[in-house]
Amino acid sequence: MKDRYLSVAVLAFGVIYTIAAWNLPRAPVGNPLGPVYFPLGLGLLVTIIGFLMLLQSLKSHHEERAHAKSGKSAFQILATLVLCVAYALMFNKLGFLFSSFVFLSALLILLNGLRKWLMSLSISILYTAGVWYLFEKVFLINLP
Amino acid sequence: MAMLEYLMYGFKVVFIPSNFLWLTLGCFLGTVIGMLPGLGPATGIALLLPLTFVMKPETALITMCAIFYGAMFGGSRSSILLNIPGDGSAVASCFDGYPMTLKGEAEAALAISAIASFIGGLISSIAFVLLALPLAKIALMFGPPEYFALMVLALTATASMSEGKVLKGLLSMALGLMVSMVGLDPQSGVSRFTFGNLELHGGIDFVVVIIGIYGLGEVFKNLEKIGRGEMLQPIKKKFGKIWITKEQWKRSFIPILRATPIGFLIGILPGAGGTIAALMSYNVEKKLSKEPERFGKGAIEGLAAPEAANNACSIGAILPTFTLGIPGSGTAAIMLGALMIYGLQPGPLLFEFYPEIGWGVVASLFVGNFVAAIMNLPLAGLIVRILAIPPKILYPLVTALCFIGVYAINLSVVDFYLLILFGILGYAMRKLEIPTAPMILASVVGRKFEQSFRQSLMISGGDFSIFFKSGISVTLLILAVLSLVYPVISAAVKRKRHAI
Repeated sequence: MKDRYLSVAVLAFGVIYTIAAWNLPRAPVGNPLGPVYFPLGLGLLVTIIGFLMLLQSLKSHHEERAHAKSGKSAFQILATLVLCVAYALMFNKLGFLFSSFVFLSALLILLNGLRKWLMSLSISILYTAGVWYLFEKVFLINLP
Repeated sequence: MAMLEYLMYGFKVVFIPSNFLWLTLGCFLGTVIGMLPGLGPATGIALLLPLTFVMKPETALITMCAIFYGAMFGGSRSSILLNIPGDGSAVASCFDGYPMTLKGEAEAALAISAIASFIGGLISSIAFVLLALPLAKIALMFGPPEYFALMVLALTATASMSEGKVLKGLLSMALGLMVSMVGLDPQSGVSRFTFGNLELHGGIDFVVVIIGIYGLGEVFKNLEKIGRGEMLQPIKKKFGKIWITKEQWKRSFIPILRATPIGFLIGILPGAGGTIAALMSYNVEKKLSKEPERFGKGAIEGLAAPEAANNACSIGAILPTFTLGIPGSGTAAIMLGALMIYGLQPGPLLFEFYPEIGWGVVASLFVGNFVAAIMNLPLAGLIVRILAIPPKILYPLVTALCFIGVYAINLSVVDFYLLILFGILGYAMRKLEIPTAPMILASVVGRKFEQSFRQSLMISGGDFSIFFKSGISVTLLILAVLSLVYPVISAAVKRKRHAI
């Protein structure tokens, strides 16, 4: 079933991409279609792939083995994602040192639990200080 | 022998103290990263790539080769000790390596894997030296249409190597090419797929793609495993002397010599990577063995062969990368990316105009091989302790490193969002069993691929028949079609046989 959904998604994506490619601006100089050929070809290719995948998935009926879903891991992945976005949002505003420390501490506490907070915080301090030193002093790259 | 002179020059470059220091450090970092379960050479180089931006090009490439090298040595450590392959190419090392550990022969297993890797790497490095210049000369005959055909072959071959999943392989390739379309078109100045976002005008840096897919994507996958309670085996920490007996050497010697050319040749072929090389040489040994029943139960030759093939393959894969600009594997694609970051053109001119880079890299293969072997034999007992780092600490650190690595490329936070996006994509691709290597390859060569296509059309004035005018390009295109059709046919034949 998973493959069938995927193939429909691929097919739709291929069609949308093809249309978007056709609507790309034409080149002001040289062959006006120059910048269009390649994306157009790619869009068509993906459409064909999606179509063939759909045919394949309709033909095969093999059972999929169900993975034991774990709510815990889904939560951890989602929480990590949220933290990543938060990190991107605060990186420039709050500076590298503060945001990295908070980010890594949060990730570590997320996986290891609150009880090991001391370990999590010390690793974060070490990491943040280490990277900061490496960038500012060795590579001479300025961090915000 | 002019070649020896060049090579000596290369050695001189490698032995400049700062270069040698980085080489050693690269071997160490590579070994460590290769060793950590779930992180292979591709992830390793991707993570450490930004580190090399501040170096001189030759130092950077030598360091990167060393990381690659160390990772090939280290990749099998977790296969042997934990039955968790560091990456695909270390899968075959689990078959007999882990049973050896269970039998109490972990020391011999670690030793033979390093010895086999060393011999495989050494012989292949020699082959590399002999083939580099002739191959680079062939590249001189290539014009845009031939390059286009060559890249078609490399891409389709990589896509079709994803066994039984040709369509998904092609899909992954198309995705990579689409990524490389984003930004201002260098020939006409037209902006494509930027959605009005100025930051996207410069295009998407393939380093972000690589770190997202191999780094962050890998983290998500491993978080899932941690959540399910996997990867929590205790690890053996005390080792005896890491060496092998005469009897074990006798068993392994010939398989190593057989596996090396297999690995090297598979490495040169576009698309087929270390996984295929290792599995193939394992199967060859099993077929040739007088006692095939020992395989899978801790046969030392069953570990030696894939280890030698694996390292030979990694060197084979660098050969077309440096001489033709066509990477033989996902990891080699990252190396090509690094070359391009420094504005260097792979090919004959690289060896002529930048001998310190071309020959420095070649010489670093030899030196790196020695350094990695030393690290993995006498020092192996110490280094494998790193495997004891709990994954729950490791993966948060890797996550943070992904971000800081991406930041180092453009010093822009916009790349963070792209990184997260590609991380999610990488994770989704793994869940949906879509191979990632074709996408990486395509995103690295994508721009050049399109340029060669359009340059050809410009030469011919828009006539598509230019791609079929020279013998070279026709041959390459036919091979590309064959590479796509072959898996389909062979699957059909197999099915028929089963039906009978």
